[in-house]
Amino acid sequence: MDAFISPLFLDLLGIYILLGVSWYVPASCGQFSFGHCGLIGIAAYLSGAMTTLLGFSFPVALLAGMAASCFAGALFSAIGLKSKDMYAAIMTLALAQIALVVFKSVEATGGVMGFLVEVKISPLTVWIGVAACLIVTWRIENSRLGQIFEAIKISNLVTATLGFNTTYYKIIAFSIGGAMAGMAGVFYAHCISWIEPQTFAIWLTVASFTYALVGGWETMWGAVAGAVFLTFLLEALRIVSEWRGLVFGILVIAVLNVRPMGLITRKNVRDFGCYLRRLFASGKDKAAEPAIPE
Amino acid sequence: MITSQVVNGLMLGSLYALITLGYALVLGVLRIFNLAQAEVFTLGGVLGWLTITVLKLPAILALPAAIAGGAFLGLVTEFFCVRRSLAGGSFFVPIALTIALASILLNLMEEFAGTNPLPICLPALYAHVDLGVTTLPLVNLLVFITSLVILGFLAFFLKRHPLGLATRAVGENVMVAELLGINSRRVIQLIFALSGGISALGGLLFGFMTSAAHPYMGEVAGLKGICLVIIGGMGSLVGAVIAAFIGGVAEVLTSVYLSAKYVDGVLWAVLFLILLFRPTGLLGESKELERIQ
Repeated sequence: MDAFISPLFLDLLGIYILLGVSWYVPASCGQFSFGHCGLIGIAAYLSGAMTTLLGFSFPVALLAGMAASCFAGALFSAIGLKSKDMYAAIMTLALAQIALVVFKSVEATGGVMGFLVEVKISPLTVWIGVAACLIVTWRIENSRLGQIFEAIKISNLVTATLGFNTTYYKIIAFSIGGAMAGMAGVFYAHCISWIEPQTFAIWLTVASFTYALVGGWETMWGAVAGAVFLTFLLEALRIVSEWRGLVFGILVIAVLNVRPMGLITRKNVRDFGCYLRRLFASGKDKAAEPAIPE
Repeated sequence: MITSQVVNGLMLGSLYALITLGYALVLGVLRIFNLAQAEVFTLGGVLGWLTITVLKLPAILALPAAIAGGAFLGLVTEFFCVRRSLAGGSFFVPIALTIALASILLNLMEEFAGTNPLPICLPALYAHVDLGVTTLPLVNLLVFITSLVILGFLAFFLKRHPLGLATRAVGENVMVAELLGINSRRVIQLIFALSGGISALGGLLFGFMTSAAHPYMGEVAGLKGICLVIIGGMGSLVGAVIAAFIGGVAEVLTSVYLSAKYVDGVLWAVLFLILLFRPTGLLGESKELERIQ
């Protein structure tokens, strides 16, 4: 049980939640991000180099990392979105691959070997960041922007004929997801301390979308629940290194075939909210509670 | 000097063409990416190692073994990843499902074949052939001819054979094809089996070329294939092959004249530039454009 309360585990849990939520934001707009490993890597390398090699303070490095990932996500998705959603997905993959080559060839950050980030942060900082991201995502989900994202996910054509510039909103979704992935990358660099190019290979993207898809990709709570559930599952089973690919693969295939919207759907969240409201309003008249529409 | 490098590039490109054709076939009919294909490619090499090095069977038997194994995995992909998820109409779920299958297959191959290179030793294939401008190992010519033969076969199949025509009909519109009496599920299964067989053959030939199969070779080759199929234009078979040749030449020239460090990035840089000026790829059709504003 000790492993569950160690600072490293808390750090990693927070980072994984950030991964899931940052992947969920473009997904809520119907976009598939392949480039999360690249976005995370860009922020991790930039912030690590800023704090360790150039001597900037951590908050400055955090902002710079998030801005860089946000910009990279926007640029590459914008070029892909000149034609079709799937091209945007592939362009984010291009971003990840180009970033990997750059990480390997820059000598200042150790090339293929990787380098040591000397500044450490506490789990408290990580969790403040996680809370901030969750609040932002939650506000977006319940705002006009979130409704437009939802509309684009359901039908690009209909949303466009209603007068919305769908390409613009898709790029916004990628930028927000990129900034959050950047935050995850900065935290990763300053918690794990050792960053090397191979960490940011394609399987990091697989991990992020596994969290979101298994947990549920209709609301952000699905991504959060997926990240927590899978992290605890792997930690409990102690098979992290060897059979991780197998477990993730089987879980994704099983869940998407049986429950296409993931384990926690919007209806679950709504029912739970309704239950909570009933619980707190138990002293008042229960009949006054409005029926929740399907 | 440069001529022989270009010839080397074309040989590498002909190998990429086999992977890219596999993606292009599925994309042309279903408009989805089959990412499990990267691991089907690996499986081709691993089956070659199994038949030639482990079981010590004649090398010619490795070809049917790899093609059959690849076709079978193609059918498995169709069953687990595509059949139920197509109804949603999103490209999203099939991508996630096929990549999940790829991660299962990779994990299994790592555990059962190990993470070290698996030697495939066929000395007869490395005899040098003089072409006038340059000399090449026999195996490179073999790969080049195979990829052209497969392109010719696919062109004939899709333009002339009734089943190929049915395939194109399903690619145009599934519902209309069903009304015309075509069993679209059978056609989709056929496409997955074909693309699986071609990719596994590519993996086997790659194993011959480098005289070893490697559990991670599919990941590298599969990602390059995705890039090339987009460069060529989604679903266009000829575009896929042209892109594969361009990619092969670009990689060889980069590694010779710039640095071997940049080889993995050069294709993606080409993709970036091409999509900047031609959003649908080299031979992609403009009906692919979905952007409205």
